[in-house]
Amino acid sequence: MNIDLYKKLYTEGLISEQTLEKVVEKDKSPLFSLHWELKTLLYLGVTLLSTGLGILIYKNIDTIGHQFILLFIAAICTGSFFYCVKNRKPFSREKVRSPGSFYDYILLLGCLSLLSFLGYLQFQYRVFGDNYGLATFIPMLVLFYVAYEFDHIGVLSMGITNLAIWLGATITPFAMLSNGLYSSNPLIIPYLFLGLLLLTAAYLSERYNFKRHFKFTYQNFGVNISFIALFTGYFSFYEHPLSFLWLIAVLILAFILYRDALKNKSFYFLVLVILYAYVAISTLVVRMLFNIDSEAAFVTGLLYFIGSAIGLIIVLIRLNKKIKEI
Amino acid sequence: MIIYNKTWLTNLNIQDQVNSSLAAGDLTKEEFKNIEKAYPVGFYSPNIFVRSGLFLLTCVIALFGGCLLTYICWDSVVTSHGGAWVLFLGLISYIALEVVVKNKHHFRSGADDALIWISGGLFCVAFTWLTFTMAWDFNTTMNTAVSMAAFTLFLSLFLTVRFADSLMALFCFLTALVLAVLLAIVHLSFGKAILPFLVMLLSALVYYFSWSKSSSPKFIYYRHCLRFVQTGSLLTLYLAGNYYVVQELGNQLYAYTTFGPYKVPYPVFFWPWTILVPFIYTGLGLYKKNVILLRTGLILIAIAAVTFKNYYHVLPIEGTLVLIGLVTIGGSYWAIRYLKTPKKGFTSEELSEDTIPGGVNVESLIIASTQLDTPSGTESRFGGGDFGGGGSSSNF
Repeated sequence: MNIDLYKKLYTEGLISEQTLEKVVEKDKSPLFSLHWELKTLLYLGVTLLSTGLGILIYKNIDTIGHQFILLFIAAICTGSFFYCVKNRKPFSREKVRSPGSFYDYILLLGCLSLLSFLGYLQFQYRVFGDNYGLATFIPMLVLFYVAYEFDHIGVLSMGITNLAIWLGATITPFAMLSNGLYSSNPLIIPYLFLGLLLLTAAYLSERYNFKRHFKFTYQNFGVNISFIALFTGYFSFYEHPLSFLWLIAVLILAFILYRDALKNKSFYFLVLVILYAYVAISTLVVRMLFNIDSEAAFVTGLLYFIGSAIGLIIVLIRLNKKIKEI
Repeated sequence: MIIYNKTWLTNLNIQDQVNSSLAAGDLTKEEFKNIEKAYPVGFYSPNIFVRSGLFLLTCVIALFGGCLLTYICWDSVVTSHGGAWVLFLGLISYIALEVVVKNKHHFRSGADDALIWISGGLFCVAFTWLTFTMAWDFNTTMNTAVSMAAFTLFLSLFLTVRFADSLMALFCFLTALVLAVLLAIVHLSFGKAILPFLVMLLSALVYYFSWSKSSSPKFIYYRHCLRFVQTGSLLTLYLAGNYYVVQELGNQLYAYTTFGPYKVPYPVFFWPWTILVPFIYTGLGLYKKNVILLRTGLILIAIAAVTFKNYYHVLPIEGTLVLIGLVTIGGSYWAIRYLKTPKKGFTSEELSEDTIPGGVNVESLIIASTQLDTPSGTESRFGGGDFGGGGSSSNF
């Protein structure tokens, strides 16, 4: 810390005497934080351990010792959850500050080993039979429950990923039936549904003030999944005369999310949504120019991209200012 | 030489330093605002998201603008000479860069980042093209490579000095290494044999320079650059002596000789170097309380472990992973407990919260992107991202 700078600021009357004293006091015994290093090590440890356990299962799946491996994993799992239950803070609708980073990662380890445990049970003993929907549904429920009960955003992300897998597993038979109606990609509609569901979850958690800080995670998954589903829809039905409706849907969704991002002052979603909308409009323009198919159209296309990008830069800079002012 | 307004850079430096006290809670918000008023900064430098957006859009403009110009001038004489045309395009983007920085006061805004790299890249392409087409007496490919490296070095040095861009500084350091290696191979009869030591020596010198100058008032505008160069030189210093790297590069250079396949000479030197240096970095980092040394050392320990694992199979992979996982978790648990109350100036608590504007939870994003597991089958078990979080803490 640069004490001379603070002294200079003090003589200029910019900081009070107490502040200067505090800074000088801190400078006498400077602290060096190992917070991020330890956190990374914990994360690395958890990842290595769960990956190692996964490979252990994979390699020993057809030899003896199932019960032993199951027991070992169950022990790690229950141990982790026991630690977390013991150290947890009471449930609240608001954000619960976690007791420490060790707690966070042990909870993650518990969830990962639980997934391994359930997967092993299913593979070896067919607990859920051929019902893959159920086999993915139960871990998903558990993950969501743990995420809310223990207030852990990482577990929530895992739950959302599992939700997507479950949807894929349950939707496939239905999609096969409807293959006659729709063409190439049977997963467009389910994924669009998933994206919108996640966006609704984001909206609801803010609206009813229930774990409001989960909103970002829901919305991040929701925005990307919905837009990608819509774009996939457009390109799979490219020849259809009404295919532009997909892009109209992109623009409508983008507008709604744009309002929300402005309201919440979120630069991240603002830039994301603007770029998605820009891609949608540009796709339409390029397609129109392709249909004209002349030299003038080519030049127009080049001019369009230069002009629109300059315009967008100005828009971004203005919005940045606007958000700061609100 | 530096293009930016020096008073603003100094003021920015003051604001940055005071910012840490604000985050720690020693400074009140009002005092911070007073300081901001007394030491104003007129740069336009938006947050990381707007910066990425501007970067992308600037690339779009440069690409289509270049296409348009080429199309318009297609029939004229200029475009028939490819190298000269690329040089012209490079000049235009460089002028655009100067205008953006001088008149619009962009500073790390995305637009200037993009233009620095675009103009630099175009100049390099132009240089290569011109030297090839003019057919100067560069008969061998090696000489061409040397001249390209030299040109790139001078260009990146110029861009670093003028725009104080930290990535460009790192790039400049790397091209200097490449140039030294090429020169040694071409002009020294024993050049190939001393390559690892040459790179080590250069890296050590550069590290010493960038470390000792990091708080000198002369280099106050280049602090970020020096930090990047420090990290880069520590990495190359280690990698030059890493057993795997030496072997692979040796294979590339020698392959099969009259003595048979290439073997690493002096394993007595290279193995201890591979294993010990990361620990020395980490230890020194802790001892000197130097974040760069510490974090580089931690990352290199992982690399050293993988290198060792590549040659010696002591335990099967799953046993190793479980064991290391347990040890790491146990060790960090112990460290967190031990440092709960600060000891010897170390603490496990967060001193100030590192937040990205917009409330983005980086941790959850990392977990979401590395833990994509399905319980329904076992095939997906592989590739679970062994070292997924290895670099997640390096926020230089």
